[in-house]
Amino acid sequence: MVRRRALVTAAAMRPGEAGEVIAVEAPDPDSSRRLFALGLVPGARLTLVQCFPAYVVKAGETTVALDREMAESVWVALGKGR
Amino acid sequence: MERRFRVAIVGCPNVGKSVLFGHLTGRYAVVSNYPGTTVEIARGTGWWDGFTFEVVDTPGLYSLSCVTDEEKAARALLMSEPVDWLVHVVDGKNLDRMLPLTFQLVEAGFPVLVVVNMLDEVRAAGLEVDVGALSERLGLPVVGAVLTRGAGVLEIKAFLSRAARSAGRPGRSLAGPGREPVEPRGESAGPGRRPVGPEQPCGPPRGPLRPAYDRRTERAVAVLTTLLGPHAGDSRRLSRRALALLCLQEDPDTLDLLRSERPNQWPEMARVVTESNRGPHPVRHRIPLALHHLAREVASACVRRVSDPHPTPGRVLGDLLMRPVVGLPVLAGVVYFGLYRFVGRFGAGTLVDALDRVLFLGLVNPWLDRTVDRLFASEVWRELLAHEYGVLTLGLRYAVAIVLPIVGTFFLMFSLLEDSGYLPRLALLVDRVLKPLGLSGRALIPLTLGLCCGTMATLVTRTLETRRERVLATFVLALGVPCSAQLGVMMGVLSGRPGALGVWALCVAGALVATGSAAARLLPGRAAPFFTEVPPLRLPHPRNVWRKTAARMVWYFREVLPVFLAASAIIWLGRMAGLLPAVLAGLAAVCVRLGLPKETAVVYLFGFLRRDYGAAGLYDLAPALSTPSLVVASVTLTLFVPCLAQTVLMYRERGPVAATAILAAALGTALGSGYVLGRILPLVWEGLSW
Repeated sequence: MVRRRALVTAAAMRPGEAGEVIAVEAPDPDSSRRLFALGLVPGARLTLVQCFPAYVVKAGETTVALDREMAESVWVALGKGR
Repeated sequence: MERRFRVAIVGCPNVGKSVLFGHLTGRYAVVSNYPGTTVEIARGTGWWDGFTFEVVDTPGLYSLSCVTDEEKAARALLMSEPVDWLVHVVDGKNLDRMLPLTFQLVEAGFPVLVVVNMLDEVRAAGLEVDVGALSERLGLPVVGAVLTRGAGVLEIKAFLSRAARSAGRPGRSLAGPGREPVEPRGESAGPGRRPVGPEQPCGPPRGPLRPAYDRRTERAVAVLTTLLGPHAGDSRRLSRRALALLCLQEDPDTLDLLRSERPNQWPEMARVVTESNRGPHPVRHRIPLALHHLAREVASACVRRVSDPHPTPGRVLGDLLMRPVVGLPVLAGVVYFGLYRFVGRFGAGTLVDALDRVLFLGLVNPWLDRTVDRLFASEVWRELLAHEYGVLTLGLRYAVAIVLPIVGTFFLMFSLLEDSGYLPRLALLVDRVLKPLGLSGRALIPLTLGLCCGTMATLVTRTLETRRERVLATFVLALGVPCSAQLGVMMGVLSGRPGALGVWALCVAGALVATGSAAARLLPGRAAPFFTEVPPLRLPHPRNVWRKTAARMVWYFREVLPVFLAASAIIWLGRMAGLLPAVLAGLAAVCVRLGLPKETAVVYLFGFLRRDYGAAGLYDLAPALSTPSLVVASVTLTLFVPCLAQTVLMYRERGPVAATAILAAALGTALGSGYVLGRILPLVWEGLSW
């Protein structure tokens, strides 16, 4: 059975929350590409570490700091994604 | 003559490329551009096993479809220079993120050695990389390494000399070492450097693993490779398949290149690219996704979790430093002790005093003056070379005695911060604060450096990612960041008058924020998005820190010495042409307008020619000025155009248009705020003293 999971941007997550990256839609294609290269790829598991003064997320062994605009372009399905 | 074997080290930032470069080249490194920044390329030569290796350390590269200037430089290097073997350094903890580039390099036709680095951090993360399995899976030679400790270097060197041996053998192509017994499997296919015949998209059975894409993408690639025809022009070092894939991802540089190289085929190629990127699942998304999925698949087959991550001090501290509660005090400490005390006080104070007063003013300059006077009879030459504004006694002295100590201490500090992984943490903490000025967190370093020496800080703005940000930072530096010479005198002049220092600081900061944010709005383009990888905190290796510092000092000196020489030559020209009195008269008129005595004009002019002189002139003038006038004079002098050396550098770094605009804006702001202050301040002051 498929449980529906809440879809939010990384900017709307609370510190400690985790989920699976569903889509990366930065305003410009370059930024999307770069977020991909940093491991924020659809299918990756992401945890929000902190949201102030910048957003900090962990995906795998990579830690990435984002400003609000970038955090808003990463869409995450909350909960246990694998 | 013996042929040299050319090796290029490639990989993401922070994976240990420069450490490997150090191991391979020993002391013989030449940094040809600003290190650690926009475009740095270090070259060196290594000798082992009877071969000569030319090693080039490329700037950080995440992917062949480039985004940053750094990446563009790295790719341009791969496309323009013949390379016999690529060493792709990857971070073992993040194989899934690193391998897409490996696949792209293979696709492009390069022979690749993969170095899985940081196996110590892999262990600390509770992971284990099966290097053999990875080599098997990739069909490429793979070496495991902990480069900071030198582990794996011998294997890398041994591999490269084997490659060099087979490359040097007659009748062999440069494609690779061929079927050496020691050679990892699959080499028979040889990821041929320049495929001569038709390319084989999926490679022979035991060749390197090549990503396969979905049918739509593969069809488009097939059409494009046919259209590309034989290899030609600047694109020839990348395989046609790689070119086709870059095209399909709408990589702007590749499209431009092919448009000019193959004008006849271009319309058809453009059509295929547009066609493939139509619809909800454009090919330009599918390609990187396919690469990442393949990477994840390979990584998950070769990386195992063996234990829970150990909370090493580096990891714990690294996480804490991102939290404002811990991070901000540490940041304040780093800026105060690292920049202000060490660079500002020790470098710009103690060391400069020793070198300038004792060495130059005490010994070198008097000797130069005498020697030049003896050699030249003409006053014109004497003044050009020596005396107050001579190329040797002023230009050379400035570069050596005043700027070099600041540069040395700064680069030592900067290399330490860089190698410890602290810089991204600093950037993320201050990003919000600098956003209104159109700057990202990274700009804090050049801005704080501006408090030591604006000329050098202008050069360091190269560390910023976009041109827009570099222009804005240059503007802020030119406008209102007082350098150590100015700051010292301002403090001295103003501290005796209660309140004056506060008013000065408030006015300068106010003008800076107001004009800076106005510039950020006016300048076309959008603010650079901020996102950065935060590497784990690491203990910097003294040898690497020293190597970087030394290479940067040499580089800096070469960049900046001509600027200082040119600046003193310009002063000489101005004096010889009799321009100074005219300029002084003009400035005096302006000063009177600001409600200042016309003697302050001298202060301004010398403030431009030699910042410390200008400020020192204010020192002499101070007793004669009322407090409001003194504040007006100091505020305008701080905001006034930067010193001559910084101006020359601005023109060189930012180009004539941007530099002129910056100067005009700085001048306008300085005079404008001077005028307004000159009107308001006396009234307010009187009101206050009542």
